[in-house]
Amino acid sequence: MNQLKTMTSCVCVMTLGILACGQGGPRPSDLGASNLDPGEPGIAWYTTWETALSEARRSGRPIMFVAAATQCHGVSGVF
Amino acid sequence: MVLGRSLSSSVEQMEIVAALYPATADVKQAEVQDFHSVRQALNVASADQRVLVVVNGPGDRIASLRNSLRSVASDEGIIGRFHIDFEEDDQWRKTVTGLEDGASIVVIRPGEFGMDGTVMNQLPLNAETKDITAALLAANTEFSGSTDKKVYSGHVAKGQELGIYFEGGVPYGEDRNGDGQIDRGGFSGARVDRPRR
Repeated sequence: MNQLKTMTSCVCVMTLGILACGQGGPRPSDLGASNLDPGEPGIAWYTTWETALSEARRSGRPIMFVAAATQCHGVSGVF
Repeated sequence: MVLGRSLSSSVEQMEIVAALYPATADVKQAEVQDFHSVRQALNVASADQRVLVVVNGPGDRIASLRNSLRSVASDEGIIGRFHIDFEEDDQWRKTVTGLEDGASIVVIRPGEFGMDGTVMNQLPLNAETKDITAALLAANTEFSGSTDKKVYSGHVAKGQELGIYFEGGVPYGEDRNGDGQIDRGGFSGARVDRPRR
C-alpha cells in the first residue's frame, strides 16, 4: 500500500453526486464502513485536476482518474 | 483498465499498473494536493475520516508553501493520512470553531457531516517543517484515538433524520425507472438496471 501511495497519481472528482448512490451502485442501506480505521494511511489523492496534472508531468506518471461523491441522498461526509 | 469492485483486487491491479510507470522524479518532492474550497475539503476529510490541514494566507505565501510543504506532505508518517487545502480567502473561517485570526496553517478535525470543523492546532506560516510534521503526527494520533469509525449506512440514515443536505455541483439522485429523468427519492419501485457499456 505504501508503494501505491507514492507511485500513483490520482484525481478524485467530488461533484458527481449522481454516482454516489447511482446506477448499479449500492443503496444507502448497503453502505458499510471503510476498510481503514481513522488515522490509518490510505491513497494520497490529488483532489484538483491542476495539481494532479502537474504532478503527473513532474514525475512522468499517468493519471488514474476516479469520479466519486462525498454525499449520498444529499447527506455529506460519506463515500 | 476498469477496476473491479473488490478492494483487494483493485489494489493489486493498481499496483501492477503503478509498477509499470516508476517516477522519473523524486517522489518525496511530489506536488501537494489541493481543493477547490474548504467546504469541499471538509466534506472529503469527513468522508475519509482524516484530519484536514488548511494553509491560509496571501497568494505569495501560499505559492511558497506549496513548495516548502512538499517534504512534509510526502513524509512517511503523513502521506495518505491527511487532506491538505491551500486557501487565500477568509470566507471559510466561520465554518471552523476555535480559529484564531491571521494567516496560518490550521489543523482541523472535520465535523461528522463535513459541514464544519474544529481547530486542533494552529501554526504560523513560517513554522519549521519539523514542527509542522510533529504537529500533524500528534493531531493524527489524537484524531485516531478519539474518532469512531463510520458505518456509512448509519451515517446516511442519521443525516437524513437530522436534515443534513450538501448542495453539490451535480444534484444527487438516479434514473431509477429508466425514464431518462433523475429521481430523487420517493420512487418505491424496483430499480431498472441497464447493461453496462
